[in-house]
Amino acid sequence: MRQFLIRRVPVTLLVLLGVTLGAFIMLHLAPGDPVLLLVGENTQSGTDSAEAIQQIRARLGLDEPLPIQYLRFIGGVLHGDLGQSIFQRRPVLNIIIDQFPHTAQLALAAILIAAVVGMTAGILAARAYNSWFDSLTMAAALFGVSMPGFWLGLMLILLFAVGLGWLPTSGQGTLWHLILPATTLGLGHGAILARLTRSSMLEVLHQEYMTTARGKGLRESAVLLRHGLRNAAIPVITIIGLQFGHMLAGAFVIEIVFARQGLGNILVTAILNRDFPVAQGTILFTAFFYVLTNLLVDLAYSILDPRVRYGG
Amino acid sequence: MTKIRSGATRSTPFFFFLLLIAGAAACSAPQAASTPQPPPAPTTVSVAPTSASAAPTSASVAPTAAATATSAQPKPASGGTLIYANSQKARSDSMDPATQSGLPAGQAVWLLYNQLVYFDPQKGAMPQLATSWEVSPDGKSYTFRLRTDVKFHDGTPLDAAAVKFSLERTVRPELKGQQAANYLQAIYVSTDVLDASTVRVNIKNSSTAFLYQMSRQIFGIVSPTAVNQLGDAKFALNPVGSGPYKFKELVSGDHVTLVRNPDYKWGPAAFINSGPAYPDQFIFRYLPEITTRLAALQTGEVNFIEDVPLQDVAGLEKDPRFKIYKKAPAGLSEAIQLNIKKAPTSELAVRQAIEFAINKEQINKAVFFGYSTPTYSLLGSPDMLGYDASIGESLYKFDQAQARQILDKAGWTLGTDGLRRKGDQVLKLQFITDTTSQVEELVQAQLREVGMQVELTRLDPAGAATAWKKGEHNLTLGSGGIQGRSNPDAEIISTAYTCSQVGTFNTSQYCDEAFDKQILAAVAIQDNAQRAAAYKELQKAILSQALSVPIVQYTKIWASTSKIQGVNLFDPGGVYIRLNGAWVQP
Repeated sequence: MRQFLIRRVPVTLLVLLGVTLGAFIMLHLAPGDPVLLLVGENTQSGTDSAEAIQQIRARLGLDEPLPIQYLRFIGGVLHGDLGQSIFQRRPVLNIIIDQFPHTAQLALAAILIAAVVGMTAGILAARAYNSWFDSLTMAAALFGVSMPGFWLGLMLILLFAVGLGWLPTSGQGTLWHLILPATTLGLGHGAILARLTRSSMLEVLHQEYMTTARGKGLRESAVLLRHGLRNAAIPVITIIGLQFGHMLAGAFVIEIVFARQGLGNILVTAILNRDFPVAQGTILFTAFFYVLTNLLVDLAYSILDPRVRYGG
Repeated sequence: MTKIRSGATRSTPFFFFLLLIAGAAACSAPQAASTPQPPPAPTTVSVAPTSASAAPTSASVAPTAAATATSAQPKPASGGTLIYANSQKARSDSMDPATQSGLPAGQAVWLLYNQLVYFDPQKGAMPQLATSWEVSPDGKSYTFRLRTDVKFHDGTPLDAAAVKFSLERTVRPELKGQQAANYLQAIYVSTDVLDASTVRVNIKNSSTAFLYQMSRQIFGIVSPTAVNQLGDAKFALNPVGSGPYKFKELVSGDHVTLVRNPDYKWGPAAFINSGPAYPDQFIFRYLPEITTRLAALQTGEVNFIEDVPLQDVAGLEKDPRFKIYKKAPAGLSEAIQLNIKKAPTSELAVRQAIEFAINKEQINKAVFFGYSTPTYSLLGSPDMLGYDASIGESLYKFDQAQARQILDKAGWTLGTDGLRRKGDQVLKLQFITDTTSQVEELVQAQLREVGMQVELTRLDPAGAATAWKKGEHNLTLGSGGIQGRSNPDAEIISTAYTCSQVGTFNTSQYCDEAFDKQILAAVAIQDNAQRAAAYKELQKAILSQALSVPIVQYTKIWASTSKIQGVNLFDPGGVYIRLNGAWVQP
């Protein structure tokens, strides 16, 4: 285990370095200048915009060659400093710390819904293979995968907030506020998990050890969960890990529809405005979490399947 | 920053909605979006304001409870919470007038601070913190006499020294690029404190725009004590002013909460309520998605929204539980800017043909549901000094035949494919915008009808700003962001057509030093009638060069629950609705 970690950490660092470089290059290659927005937003008659642009660019350090800007960014990161937002005039790290709990809360709730709904549906469908229940569940899953989150979110708002009046339309704070966005985000991912769990379970169900387990006189639920699911879980866990990473950055649309705070929201705003420090910082932070989740998933394998051992 | 806020982007397939309801079988079918929970019909008769679709001029917007029988205004009651849903998010959370960056923080700034004067589009500058003022004969010194009874939220008095302090911190070099600094740095000389309640501001050259600028939220007077105690960064998030509301809480990207300032008694009478505000709290929420915003109003989670989905306006107007407010903000009209530095719009004939070929009526009907006003004027509101729609109308009344004739004469001959060519060069225009409205597609189709090929490119704000600066466009919608900016003085013209703004606001890239001087001279004229005449000359010059094709005077639309009373749309520009007098009926 320790050796596994020793091998993984440098690789992880390299991945993160690659992410910063990739993000930096892509952000700066896309045409677009935040200074023009700053000036464009504010200029009044009688000011010389060319001169103003020059001065602001110098103040923000954007007049330096790109490699220098990149090294400066990396140097800052090593000191725990992600820089200052161009528009907010606040440290990027503070912005991320402000927003991350909202994103984490949403992603956790959504992944919980996805896992519970998806895996339950998958197991039941596999057990009732080729029955009407199986077809219905898989059709529903296909629908779930295909439905755009944006549309589903609006429909849920119209139904549960405007129509029935059970839940608030938007905002955050209480558990009630979390239900609709988490469901919207979770259902699509749950649909994927349902299909995956089903096929993975189908493979396992025909194994001889399942028959052995039944032969031992175990209850059917124990057979399914302890012997079946545990063996079928590895691909499912992998996908859950990836999905969780994806949700951290990909919840943007949900955040807009439900007017929630979050990293996705600030990342997209930052990219649109070319607020380089915020965009770079947020991407690095999400990448870090993505890598971390994957590491945890890898470690989870060895718990689920004693045959998987790290080290040696 | 987004210029055209067409509500037409929402797609609500009710068919699927019904399907979904059917799927959720158990619930006895709720009656779709139009029948939400909240309170029973209100007792007061309050009719949707009258500016019908025919001609929504800003003059007719104040909600009038006239159309139905009882028009007795209920007496304002204190208490309750006004929750206003913003459609846009500011790039910055700062509530410091010197560094704030638009909505919604900017909207809170209106209620947190007072300015020296307020601006009435028709009457000009009116007393607010200053009870009176004198302009020196050379127009370069303004002496303001201040009210003596004004206190900041921290209890310290608002005096001449506070005014000097507020202006001087605005012109610090490190604030370059901020709205307030960009204006004041160019013109500011000094401020003299003559006595505790008299202050003289000296500027570089005579400009009538100065008083208007002093009325903007960016020149709210701040508490020197608070700024010195907190420092700039903390002050921006813990603002202390002298306005009708005090700051309570900011949750970035979510909401700003203000509470009533019980000591407030220095509001101008024109703000309906010159005393303490009625609601206990005022919350600005950020609800960017148009459907969610309307849903939140219908469920009563908020009681005031801006930028109502246009297809829902008629329904809300008929519904007694809601009120609709409409106003055309002062400023520039929604217009197409034509780049004179890039072929083929470098040719006057091509630009003039475009002027004749655009069907404004059709665009207004299709994109704005008829709620805006088709216009030939560069100015966005008839209230503005120097407004005269006949200038453009007499030059370029919509006429496709005329457009074709001009192009024929200029040597652009029509090919069999319906496109015009000069030699082997096709009449092709690059249309680069950063909006998501449907105006662009209609313009594309209309120009195609007279034989022009329009290539449409939509970019994000930063990408578009760069493309405009490089001059890659022939056409653009709006002018680098000032379209949405309120400015009741035609001085705003100068921002879009002076040499110094080429590369930013001046997307037509027009640069003529004589014209620059003409603008400066016009802005310096103190007499209103003379200045109006000078502004008309400026508009005539711009239109005869065909630098801009005005399309509509954009009408902004708000909705509230019928419990909200005392809303005043009279305001510089109208982008910021004036809510000083608003109250929530219990």
